[in-house]
Amino acid sequence: MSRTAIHRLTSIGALVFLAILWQVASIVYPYESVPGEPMVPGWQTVFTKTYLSLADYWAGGLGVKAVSEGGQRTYAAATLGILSNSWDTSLRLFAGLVLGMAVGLILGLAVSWSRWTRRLVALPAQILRTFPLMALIPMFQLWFGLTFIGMMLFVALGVGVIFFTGVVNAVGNVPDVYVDYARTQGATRFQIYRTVILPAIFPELRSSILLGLGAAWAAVVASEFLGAQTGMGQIIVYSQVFGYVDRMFLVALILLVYSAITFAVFEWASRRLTEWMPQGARGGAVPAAAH
Amino acid sequence: MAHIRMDHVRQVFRRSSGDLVQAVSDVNLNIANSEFVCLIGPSGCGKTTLLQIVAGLLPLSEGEITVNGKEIKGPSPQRGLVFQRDSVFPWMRVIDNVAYGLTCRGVQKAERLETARKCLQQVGLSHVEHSWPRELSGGMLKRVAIATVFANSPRVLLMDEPFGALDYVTKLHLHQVVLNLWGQYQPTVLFVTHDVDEAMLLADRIIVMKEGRIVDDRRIQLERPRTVESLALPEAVAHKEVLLRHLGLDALVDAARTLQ
Repeated sequence: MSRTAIHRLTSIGALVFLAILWQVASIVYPYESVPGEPMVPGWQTVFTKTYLSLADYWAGGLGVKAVSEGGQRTYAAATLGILSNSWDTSLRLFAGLVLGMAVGLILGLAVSWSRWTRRLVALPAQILRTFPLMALIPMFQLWFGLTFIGMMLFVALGVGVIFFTGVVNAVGNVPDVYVDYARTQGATRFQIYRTVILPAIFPELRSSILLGLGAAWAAVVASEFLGAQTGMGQIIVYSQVFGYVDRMFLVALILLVYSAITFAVFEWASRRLTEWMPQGARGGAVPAAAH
Repeated sequence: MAHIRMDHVRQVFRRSSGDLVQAVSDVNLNIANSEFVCLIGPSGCGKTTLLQIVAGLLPLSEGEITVNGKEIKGPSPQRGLVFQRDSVFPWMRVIDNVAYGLTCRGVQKAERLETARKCLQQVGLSHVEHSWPRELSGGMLKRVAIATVFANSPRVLLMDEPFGALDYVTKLHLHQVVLNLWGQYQPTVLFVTHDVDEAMLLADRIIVMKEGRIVDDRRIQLERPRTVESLALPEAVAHKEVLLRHLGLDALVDAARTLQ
């Protein structure tokens, strides 16, 4: 068996072990949050009763009736419930992610662009970034209510702050010789930023992008805790009220799958974008995969 | 082709301690069209600073430098610079690196690729045009940098200890590359080095700097093409003795004398 196969099997084995551990916990810890709702729901519950219960979050349509309108709790309705709420959450997440990265990048680049843009941006941005994000939730709620814009801006703030810091540091580490080389060949400042600074900072920005992705997932779920009408975070809050630990657990599992997918897509894209880097320096974000 | 003229050039730096340092003090120099000039001197003598001023990367503190009568106001592809450190962009394939200056100036794709290919061929790198820089050796990267500068058809070629970190054989090969291109395009060359033999193999004229000033200006009239054997000719030995003394190696020169 090849080394990679052994490594893969070991990783899968560790996951299976965790799943078994959960099952054992559900057996030896038979307490309930409210009567009929186990504190540690076993897998046999999670993939049947719990999964079906997510049909409650389907608003109806596509020939599948909502439970509130007398529809049955079916797997189809449950799957639609998951997909529609995931869609709402994803929109908030990606809109916030893109906005946060764009603003963080532009402000981060502005710090090095010229003396004037540095004066304008550096100090205010450094002060703003130290605001504790979670403490700002109530303020965002008062300002924007429970709107898409509010949630998107909240995610954008969480991501933008991380991205800004990452960009400022990465630009500071670009070797002068590349910029001088471009200047002696007649590149304008804009051309230098596009063809030298951006590609040169990308490898170092990968860790900021990964941190930003993590922050975005956390921020979007947190913003939905506050009374959003749809979304995965809203299901968790609703479940907490009724002691539905199994639903919270299942939603958390689904979020885990989503973030794993976003990380994998990013890893794939980043490998393509860093094809020019020496082997070994590439894909540094997930070093375990390289061995 | 270009005629470079320096008048009372002075360059002052402020150290982080606040002290002022004169990196270049009162340099006057006239360099003729297509002349190959080597600037030599101990480290910290101001030779690289002078080169960076001519490149337009450093603003001049005092004095005047003109190229073909025009004052230098910032960098220009007309004054190409080959750096001591690896400057080839690792995120661009070799051909895109060579065509970079042309791309910046909006030259059409077909035309810039044609120019880039020609330059790559002249430095003997046609076979790697689609490689990434990481796949190339140190010597090959220098060839890419030289091809890149020549793709901009510069009037002035500036070289800042370009081959300092390379092995002896690679260095000799690259001297040939530079001399061939110089013969073909006839740029005025300002070549900074601390290697006396390198200067003797390449230059029409060797200028020695010490503590920011020019202390010697020697014409090297050895016949071209020069080879390693040319360095053993009496004229070359005489130049070399003087140059080594300038570099503070009197003891070495005296020891060699006693051996003869």
